[in-house]
Amino acid sequence: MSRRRLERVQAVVIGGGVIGCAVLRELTRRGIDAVLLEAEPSIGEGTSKANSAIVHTGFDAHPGTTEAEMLRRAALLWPEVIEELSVPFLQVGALMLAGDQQEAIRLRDEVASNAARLGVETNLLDRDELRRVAPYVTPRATAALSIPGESVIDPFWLTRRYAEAGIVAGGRVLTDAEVVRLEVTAEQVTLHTDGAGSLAADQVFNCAGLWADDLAALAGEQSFSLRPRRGQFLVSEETFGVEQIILPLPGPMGKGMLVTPIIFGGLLLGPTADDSPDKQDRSVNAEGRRRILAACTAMVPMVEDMVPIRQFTGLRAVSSTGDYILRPSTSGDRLYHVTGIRSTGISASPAIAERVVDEAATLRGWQRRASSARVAEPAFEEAAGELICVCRSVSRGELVGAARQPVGAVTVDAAKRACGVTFGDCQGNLCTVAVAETIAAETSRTADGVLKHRAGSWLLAPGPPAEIRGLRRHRPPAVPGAMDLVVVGGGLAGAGAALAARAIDTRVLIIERRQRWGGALGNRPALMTDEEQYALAALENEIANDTIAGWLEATATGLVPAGGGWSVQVQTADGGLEVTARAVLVATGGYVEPREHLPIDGPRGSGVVTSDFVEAALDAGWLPGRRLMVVGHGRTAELSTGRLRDAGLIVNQVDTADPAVIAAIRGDRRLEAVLVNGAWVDADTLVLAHRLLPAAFLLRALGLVDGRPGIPARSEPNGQTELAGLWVAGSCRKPDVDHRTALADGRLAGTAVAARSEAVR
Amino acid sequence: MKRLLEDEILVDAPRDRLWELVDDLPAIQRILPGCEELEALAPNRYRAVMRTKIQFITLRVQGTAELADLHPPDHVRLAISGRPIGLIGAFIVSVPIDVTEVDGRTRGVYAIDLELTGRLAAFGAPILRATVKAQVREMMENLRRELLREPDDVQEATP
Repeated sequence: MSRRRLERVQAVVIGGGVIGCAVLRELTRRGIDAVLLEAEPSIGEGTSKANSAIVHTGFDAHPGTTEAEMLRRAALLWPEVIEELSVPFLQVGALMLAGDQQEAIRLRDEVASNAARLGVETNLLDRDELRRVAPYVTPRATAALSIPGESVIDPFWLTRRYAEAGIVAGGRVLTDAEVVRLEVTAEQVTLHTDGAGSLAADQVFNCAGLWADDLAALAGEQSFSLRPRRGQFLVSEETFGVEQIILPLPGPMGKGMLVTPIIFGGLLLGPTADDSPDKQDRSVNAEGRRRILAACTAMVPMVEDMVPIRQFTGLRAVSSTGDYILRPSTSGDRLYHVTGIRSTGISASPAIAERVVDEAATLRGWQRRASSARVAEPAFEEAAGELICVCRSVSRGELVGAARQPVGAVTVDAAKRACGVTFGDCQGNLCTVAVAETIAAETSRTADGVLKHRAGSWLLAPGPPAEIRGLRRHRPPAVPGAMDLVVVGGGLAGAGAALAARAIDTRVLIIERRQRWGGALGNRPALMTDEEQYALAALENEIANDTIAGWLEATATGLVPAGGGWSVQVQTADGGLEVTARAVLVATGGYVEPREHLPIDGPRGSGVVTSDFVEAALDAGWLPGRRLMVVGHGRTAELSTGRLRDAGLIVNQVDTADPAVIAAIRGDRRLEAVLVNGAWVDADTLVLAHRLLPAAFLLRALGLVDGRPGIPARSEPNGQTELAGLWVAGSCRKPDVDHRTALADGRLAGTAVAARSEAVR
Repeated sequence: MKRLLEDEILVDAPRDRLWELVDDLPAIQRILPGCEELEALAPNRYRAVMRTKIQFITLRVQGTAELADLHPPDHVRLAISGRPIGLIGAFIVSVPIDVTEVDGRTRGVYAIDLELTGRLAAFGAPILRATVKAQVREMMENLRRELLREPDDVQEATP
């Protein structure tokens, strides 16, 4: 929608990355009327969302460069930024390893002495000292340089908080506003956008990241160029005890691969560093994964056991000048370039913003007028409501809060960056539909209008009427007294366990997060055996007769030992409650292994999902795509294929349990084609249904599974765990994409736990 | 429960003073960091509303505080559990304290055990661990202040 009017403002910032948002904040702090233009639907969609999330001290910067100067200045500004913006920040320190005597000498003579020249504190550690502070690093490391000032930060939070501070102080952020024409004169800069009309500004800041040279070219300037340096990363939920940033001696392409603690938990590994001509190419590949694992395992051997939950690519802007470009345009000083900030943008952002706004103020004669506006700290006063994201325990209330922030989350990835939803093991396949529907409700749209990230990355299409929507909501009744057994999960294993336990006179409560019983197959009884159908009917009958207590739309969020039994924390749309029981049986099933865990080459647009996503979409009345390929096996694949065909869609099914048949995918924003069995096949949606991983998130806090996905809960053959009164059954411990063993496994565990419960009663 | 740290506190006050505080509701409220409300539910068991700053957010927490495993004059365990308002999840912090008297001074050797569920568990262990450690250390400093407080000061500070 074009606004055909020429609005006049004092300053325009082009680009909503961390630098652009920092400049917006700096301008508005000084009372300057400023507008930020971002081409994508959400800020932080470029380099700012795909980086190492480190605030560098600049210990290895080249003295005399603008980069080194900015990093040193930023070090002084960070405490104020963190305090004023309330940004997650943790000074974890870094250890640069030396593998032999020669490298140890380089550490001392090159790196440490360079740091000293720049005024950055470092300490040389010998082998013993290194083992003491970081016992997880390779025993082959002979020495290390400790850089205690290195810190980790949440880059999404920082970018958003800069922008929000700018908005609170009177600035504006316009998204979907790509600058397509630029005229620089001695009096003003006129900007024409595709989406937000035209503006005239006294001063324009070119903070367009990788596209800053293209933007300069719009003004007729060719004085510099930028090329992308691709950096692939891996994300691990398991930390392997790593508490510091671990890095090797730097090479010609930069710092090398790092092992970095993520501030909200987990590890970040990488990046690779490959120059590329393509500014759009954010694809990942198996080769990158192999290189990252090899380099990081050499520093932290335990990383070899890692199961990544995600692989992504960031593009860093390498300038033709070899340094930051912070200067007026050769086309006229009303356009000011803020670019070439290869990999230290986060770290230097406060100093860069201060520098460029200072210089512009001098050029324009802006008077310093301090703004007292201060961005409020995020509050969690809203009712939490039901659980949306099972992996990360994000509630609907928290998601709504993210959508209502000054820079509201309007895409699924923006919501992920704001509150962590879709960030966990299943990579959003269980919850993206609910996230899209929540965002849609907050932004007066329908869910098919909500994007994954950039324009064109659609998620859902209008579909047949909802199969579930409109059913009576099941409200949990009043909390009962102590139960003998709480069964968490109302699928086949949970049903089998509840019925078996009930048969020997056990007081059972069964809870299920869905709106129906039966788990993954509950929507398609025709796929079930007679025995499974009978068991589900029996469960519903027992619940109707109040001989088994049953709660739907209730999610267990925590298990805590209490009074010789267990307290089960349960979340419903109405709030949280607790039930106590002698024993708990966890039968939370599994989720289909998502693409993000797999080494499939290609970009990361929308349209690559699992059968969990398909089920959620169809349940809610949406289609997950239009031209679909289902790659999978057993009843999980049959379920998705059958329901999609029933919805009138043409589905290409590849019957296999081996996802390696998919070599690559194509489509930057939405999937376009899949390379399967050596041939490219057109598809806008790839549905994975090949393998189930245990959804054992509840058991992580108890130490029964570690942070790696796909690790079944430890248990005896009958489902008993090493923790008294805690049992597991079904896909939690025996992931089975065909679900053939679930009912019997539930019965086995239910019988065993009831017999044990009888014994202790 | 995961043990976060073990530490000790040495206060220039007699050990008996600590046990006087056990029955002093206003003193307990002053000792608990960010405690906005404290109400006795049963002997040594309280309902509490606390405000906790986790660096980048401030959470209000509803929960209970309990003085458990009371073995005067040698041992007490402070158990605080609760749920943050607006977030899914819960926490349990347990602080066992062994108390001895050395030359008229009170020495408390304590540990911090922590259990998190739900969103709190997903929020990121590094930052929450740092917060809980800081909060318990603040609590110990508050305790030190209370132990050193003259009875008249206590009277004046009590609303």
